[in-house]
Amino acid sequence: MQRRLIQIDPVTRIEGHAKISIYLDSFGAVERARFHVTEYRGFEKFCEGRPFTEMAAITSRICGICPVSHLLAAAKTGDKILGVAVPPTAEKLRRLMNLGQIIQSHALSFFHLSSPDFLLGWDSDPAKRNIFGLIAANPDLARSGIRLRQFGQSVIEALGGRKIHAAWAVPGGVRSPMDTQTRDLIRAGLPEAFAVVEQGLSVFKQLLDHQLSEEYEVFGHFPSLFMGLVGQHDRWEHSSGSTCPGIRVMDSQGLVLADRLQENEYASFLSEAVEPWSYLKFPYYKPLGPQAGSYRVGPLARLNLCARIGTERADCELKEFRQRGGRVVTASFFYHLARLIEILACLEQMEQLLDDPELRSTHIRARAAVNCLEGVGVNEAPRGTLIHHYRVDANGLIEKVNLIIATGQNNSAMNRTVTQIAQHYLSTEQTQAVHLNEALLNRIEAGIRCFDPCLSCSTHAAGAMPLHVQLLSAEGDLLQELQRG
Amino acid sequence: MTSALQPLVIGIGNLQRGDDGVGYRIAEALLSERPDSYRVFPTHQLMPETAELIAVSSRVLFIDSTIANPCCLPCSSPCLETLQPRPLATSSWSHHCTPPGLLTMAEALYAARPPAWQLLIPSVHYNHGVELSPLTATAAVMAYSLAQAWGCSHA
Repeated sequence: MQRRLIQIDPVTRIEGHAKISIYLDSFGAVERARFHVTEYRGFEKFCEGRPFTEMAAITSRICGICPVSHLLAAAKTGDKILGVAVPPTAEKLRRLMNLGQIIQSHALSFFHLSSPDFLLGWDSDPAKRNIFGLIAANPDLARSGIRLRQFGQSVIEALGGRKIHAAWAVPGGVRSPMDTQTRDLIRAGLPEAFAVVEQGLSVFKQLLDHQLSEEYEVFGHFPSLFMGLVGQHDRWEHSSGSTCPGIRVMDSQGLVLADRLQENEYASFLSEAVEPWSYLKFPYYKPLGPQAGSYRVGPLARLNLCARIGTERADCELKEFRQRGGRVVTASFFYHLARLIEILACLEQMEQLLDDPELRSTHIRARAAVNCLEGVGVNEAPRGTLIHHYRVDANGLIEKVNLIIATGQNNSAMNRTVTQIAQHYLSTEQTQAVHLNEALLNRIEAGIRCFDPCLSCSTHAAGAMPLHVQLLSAEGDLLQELQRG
Repeated sequence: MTSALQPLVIGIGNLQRGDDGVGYRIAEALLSERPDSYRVFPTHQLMPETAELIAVSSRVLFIDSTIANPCCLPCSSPCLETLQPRPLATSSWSHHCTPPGLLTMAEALYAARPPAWQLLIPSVHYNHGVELSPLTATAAVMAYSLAQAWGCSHA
């Protein structure tokens, strides 16, 4: 029998453009699967020659979903080049904006992109398995999800002047302070936001208990390393700065392999492998090599790495999360639950932060000339750890840029997830069937959505997202084709 | 609440992509006059939450640029046309919203179906830059007056 190839091209309801290839052996069984990222923009190259002070505004344009993450990482890298300590108020205001960013991005991922799979079912019509299908099936949840995302964006807008690409964080601090009116506006939105995330948690936990137990086992359930920022006293952390000792690497048994790693030294513990079939790089933990050093970042990693979140309601959820999945949760399907818990954590931290009188100080920016020719900034983006590294000349013009993006760091895990799902759901009979089963293919796509990949960020690009599935022989002959969108 | 009964003008566009920004610019110009009989919402892109704003309006006008609309080209006049929500079952959404899609959302989520129009402005290019092409700049002047009249006449 011929060896065959099944392709899902492009993958839908993710941020960017990718395809999945499923390689079958000569018996028609799934041999391996690959998640290819097929777009390229090259921000690292064309930023060369620009003043480092422009990097926050330029790199935030990499993405319309998580521009704040790049904005903050770039500003922090700029802090290092200036060689200044950021005023405490500016650091807190940056944290506040990052909380808004995580809320809006996680709300988009859970309510808009992924919940149609859970609530409408894998076998539902693909044309209806989207936010409009969710509106028809559960308008209350759809409305709530939209409102929650809107709240996160309103925080960004209130601080930065616009929802997307707010050029507000700058090297040395932030451009404008927060007035009382803004503080009260954000505070007024918190009760509804809490109610929405509690609703989402309730709905999703019921689904986990009754309908989604198989997905828990099959959607990327494997041991790996986890990496991310950890706060003081082992608390959950989302931002580097005075309260963050550094980066932690942990294995799936809970053993801390490295702790308090500093971003400036990232090249000593991270390396990036390249494969010819994808524009997305494969970062790994250097001491263990590309295979054993494969790690996951993002909501699941952050919850695994910390001992506690540090706020009451989120800590209750974290306890239940660990009762469901163990002290170190290795099931990638729990990224969804981790996202909801992180939204809750963000809301609670926001509530505490708004009570801080220091937040209203107008001392928000440290000014200096170029004092260091190299800088590394790190931040926890919604999807995981984001590292910016710039080298500049004496005039502050960029000579070299390296961006290590969360989605890239999950690349190996996404490939393993796709393989695991394909091997579980695509039997020999199904791969040889005249018509491929849409529900099975959607499960494979949904495995990728667990990670909420942002390919715009990771390759620094954007694209249209219809679905294209191809079944090809080893010789490259097209045997079957599915297309939608 | 009187604001719930007011017409709404939504101007759409990216100010840094040439003619694409014309809808946003017109909305900003309307807003600068501080109209009290209708509301104005300039936006770079439509988002799901815009449906709620639509739902609390008596009528809605979307202003946007168009390159391909045959009702505008080859002449330089803006084109005003009515809009209907798309049936829910045929709507899809991934990463961008359309005016009909938002009308569908407003109806499905908030049980509101305000009458809606779109004012399309002929455009030449969406290249990087903040300048409007001469054709779009001319059409924008006409569109501004039309939008202003629309807002006042439907108040």
